[in-house]
Amino acid sequence: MNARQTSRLILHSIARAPRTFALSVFGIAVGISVLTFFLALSLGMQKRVLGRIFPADRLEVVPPKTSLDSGAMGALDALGGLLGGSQQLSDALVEQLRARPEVAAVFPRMRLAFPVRGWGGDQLIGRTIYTELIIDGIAPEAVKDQTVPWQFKDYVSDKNPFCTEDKNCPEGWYCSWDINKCEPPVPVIVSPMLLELYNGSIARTHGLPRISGFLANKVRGLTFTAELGRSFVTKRQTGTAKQRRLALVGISDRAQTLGLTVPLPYVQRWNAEYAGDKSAKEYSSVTVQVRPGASVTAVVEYVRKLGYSIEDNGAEQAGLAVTLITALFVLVSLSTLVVAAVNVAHTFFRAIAERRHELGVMRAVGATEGDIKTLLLGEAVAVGVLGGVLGVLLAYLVGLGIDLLSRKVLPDFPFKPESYFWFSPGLVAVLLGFSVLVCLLGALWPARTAAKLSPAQSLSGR
Amino acid sequence: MSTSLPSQSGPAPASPLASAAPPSAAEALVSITDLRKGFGPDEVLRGVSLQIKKGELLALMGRSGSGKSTLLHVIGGLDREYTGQVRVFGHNLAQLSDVSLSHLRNAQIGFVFQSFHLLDHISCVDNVLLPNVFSEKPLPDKIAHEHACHQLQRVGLGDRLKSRPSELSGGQKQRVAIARALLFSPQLLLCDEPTGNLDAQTGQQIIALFSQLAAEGLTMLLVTHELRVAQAAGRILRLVDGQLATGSTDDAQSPALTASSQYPEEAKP
Repeated sequence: MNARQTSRLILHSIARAPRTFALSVFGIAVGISVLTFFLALSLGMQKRVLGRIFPADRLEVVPPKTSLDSGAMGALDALGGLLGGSQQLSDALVEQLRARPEVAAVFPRMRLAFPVRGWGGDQLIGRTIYTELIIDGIAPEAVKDQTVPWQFKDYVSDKNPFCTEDKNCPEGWYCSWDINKCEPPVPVIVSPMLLELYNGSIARTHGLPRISGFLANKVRGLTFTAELGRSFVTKRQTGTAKQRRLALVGISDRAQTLGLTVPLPYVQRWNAEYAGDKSAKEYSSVTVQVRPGASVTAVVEYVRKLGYSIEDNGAEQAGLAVTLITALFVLVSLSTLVVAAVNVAHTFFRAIAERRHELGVMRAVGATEGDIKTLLLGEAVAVGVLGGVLGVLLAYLVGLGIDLLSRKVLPDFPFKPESYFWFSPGLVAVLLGFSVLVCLLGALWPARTAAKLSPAQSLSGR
Repeated sequence: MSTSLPSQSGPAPASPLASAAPPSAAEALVSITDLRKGFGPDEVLRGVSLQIKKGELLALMGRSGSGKSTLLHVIGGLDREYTGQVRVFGHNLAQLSDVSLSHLRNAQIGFVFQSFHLLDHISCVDNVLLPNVFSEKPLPDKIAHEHACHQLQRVGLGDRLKSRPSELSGGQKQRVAIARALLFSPQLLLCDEPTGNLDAQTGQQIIALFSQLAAEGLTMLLVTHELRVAQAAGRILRLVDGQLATGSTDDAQSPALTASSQYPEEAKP
């Protein structure tokens, strides 16, 4: 068949009965829009919300747990670890993990092994907040690819100038009085979750200002004081109290979820000084970043084989919950599409009855059974494409409306996204294809029936 | 609306290839042997045997329901439910696949029907181009369009290319149908009551056109119940109760046929 003329013929056929065509398109558009809406919502929730809370491509390797659910080998390894310490997180493990092809990067983390308290915040909220600090350290290179405006690195150096007070030091630096050395503040990063929790809960319930435009405005360079070896919770004192100035340099999802994260060398030095050399050598966890597209499961299996555990952050359960809810809505959407496909079939059967003469003429001038099928299925494809485009567009507009309402009407809450939906190009392409497929399935039987009509009977109306 | 045909005036010329003697099977373009065809319990064609030779203009007459259109449909490969043998251009139609038969119809057989069977939602030129859409080897769009325009000019409708069939008179519609049938210069033109829906004057013009085509060597089977149409043919066949009664143009002058210009029972639509 001549493709161009066939297309023209299809368009002419559509133009001849626009109402019938519009009704078929409407049915498909409704079904596709419902399906698109729920799938985009599901993807959006997974990408924009769950993805921020539980990054799927990142694993936290922790020392072996003693529970038996990690398998007999794991339990034995754990026992060995408890007795002999052979399963502690060490540099050797870090190197082993780095050698895996699935692994993009490995960053050891170390918690402070002694109490620290802190105070500050008057620059930002007009009053001083006193709190116990939970601090861990991560290798500085871990946050190189993050948006941190102030360098996240170890600033301590023997070459730092001597001082007796802050004014002896360069601007932004402070005088560390116990060693009489000028030092820049210890760079600190916090997790987006901490900020969300502050904005969504603490700021609202305590009447404190929300931290918005975090990196660009107020919080960048916010400093506060940490006192090492002292606690507001317990009277126990560890070593000699030392005060260090800390400065927030940004938000990074590499930071620990609830607490502050500083460059690893600070924690190593402080642990060595306050908790002994052993504490300065054993990591509390190792963050493993899996390469895009690589198997996370393979890395998990490898880690477990080595006798270590993976920190359960709840991502699997949350992902499963979203998947189940999505599946439910998709089933509802699919039933709408089944109705739409039946509608297409009904419309085409009726059209064939009305166009019997026309089909007979086409057969008389040389159309094969296949040509008749192609023509009718071509019309079905047109219904599918237009219905699919309109359906996706409708879902997109509804999504935009919901996002707008959410921004204007809903109060802030932790991890409130800018958009709940993700209309990825892949999703749109798949749904358009699906729309066409539904129409083709609906039109297949009528098209076969039309193709099998005897030309003589079609022409004579017998 | 009446439109005179180009280079046609006066009575239609007799076909130069018309012959009273039936051709032998060897030289026949169409060869039918013992064709039987029924609709349910009613047998419409009862052992029809027929040869049509190349360049012949043959008229097939008979009462309503005598099986004329059915025979034409079978010859044109539009109806394949029959017994007996039908050979067209040497092909046994029963043995051709749907695709082969469709291509044969497309390239070598033209159809003209009583009710025109034009597609109302497309223009005249697009109607004429319809066979090119389904052709095994379609002409390039531009050439096909030029060819379609030429065919429309040939039947006197060069000024109605973009018109829709609904804007045309019956005679004009039939000319569009003829132009469509002639697009690929077929070897065989099958016409089913081509003047049945036309007034006498327009019908006469269509007959003149057929005569001109026959003079150019086109083989034609003209199904009609009108004697004035049949008289243009070199040979007239009559179907009576599903069987063929043959005769020449002279046979058509018999009192039974000349008493009226059509079979007595026939009522002109």
